[in-house]
Amino acid sequence: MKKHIGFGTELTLLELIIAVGLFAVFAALDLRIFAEAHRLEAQSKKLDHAVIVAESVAECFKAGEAPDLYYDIDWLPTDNVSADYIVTVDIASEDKIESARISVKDKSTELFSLTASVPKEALP
Amino acid sequence: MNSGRCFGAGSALLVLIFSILCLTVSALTALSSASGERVLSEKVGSVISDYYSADCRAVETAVALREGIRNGEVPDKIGEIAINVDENGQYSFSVPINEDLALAVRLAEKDRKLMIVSWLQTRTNEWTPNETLKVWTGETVP
Repeated sequence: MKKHIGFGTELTLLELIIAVGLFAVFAALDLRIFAEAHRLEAQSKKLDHAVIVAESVAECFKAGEAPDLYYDIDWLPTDNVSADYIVTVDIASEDKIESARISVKDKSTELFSLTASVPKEALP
Repeated sequence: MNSGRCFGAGSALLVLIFSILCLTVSALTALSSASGERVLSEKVGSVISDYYSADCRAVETAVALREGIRNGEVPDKIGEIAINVDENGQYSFSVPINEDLALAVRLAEKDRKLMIVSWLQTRTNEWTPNETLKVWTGETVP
């Protein structure tokens, strides 16, 4: 017996091929959008942590301490060898004021920086 | 018998269009949310940075004021910052942080030394309460 393959079956196959092709194209575009969203979210998370850390160090400096701090990828304190984020404090001393430039960096770029100052003879 | 084609022609395309639509809406929502978070983080960073800049200027002003008092001469203005003296002999000045906020500092002199009475972030623009919603005050029974 001869098996009959009609025009309808061919059309369904063609339709499925077009559907899979279109899905692949749009899925690729959507994946790019998801990747961009993930990148933006990671950046803002880094910036949030950097701001909090810089503010803490600024308050430490105003209280009389100026620690260099090291953080791992999850922003937990670590040693300088395995650090992913580094907080540096550059102190500049003027006549009656001591100021510190606090900078939070990852391995390649500076994430956030601020300058805090304190009088040498403290205002009680 | 046509048991293999229980869905009509084009059903695959319809399912595809629906899934692409869902995926795209979800992706755009994620992007918009992440973008909003990024803008908020940058704004917070900018406000913190502005605050410490103003704090530095306030420290400089306080030190200059202390030197002025030690030399027996209280200046009316240090840089662009006006120094006010109230009836209790306390000195106050305000350093702008940004267009909405300022750092208000109040200092008191004791034994030719300056003591910090307050070092506060305050709002400079006027706050207008929204009075459009009528709330029952309990004075009259409706």
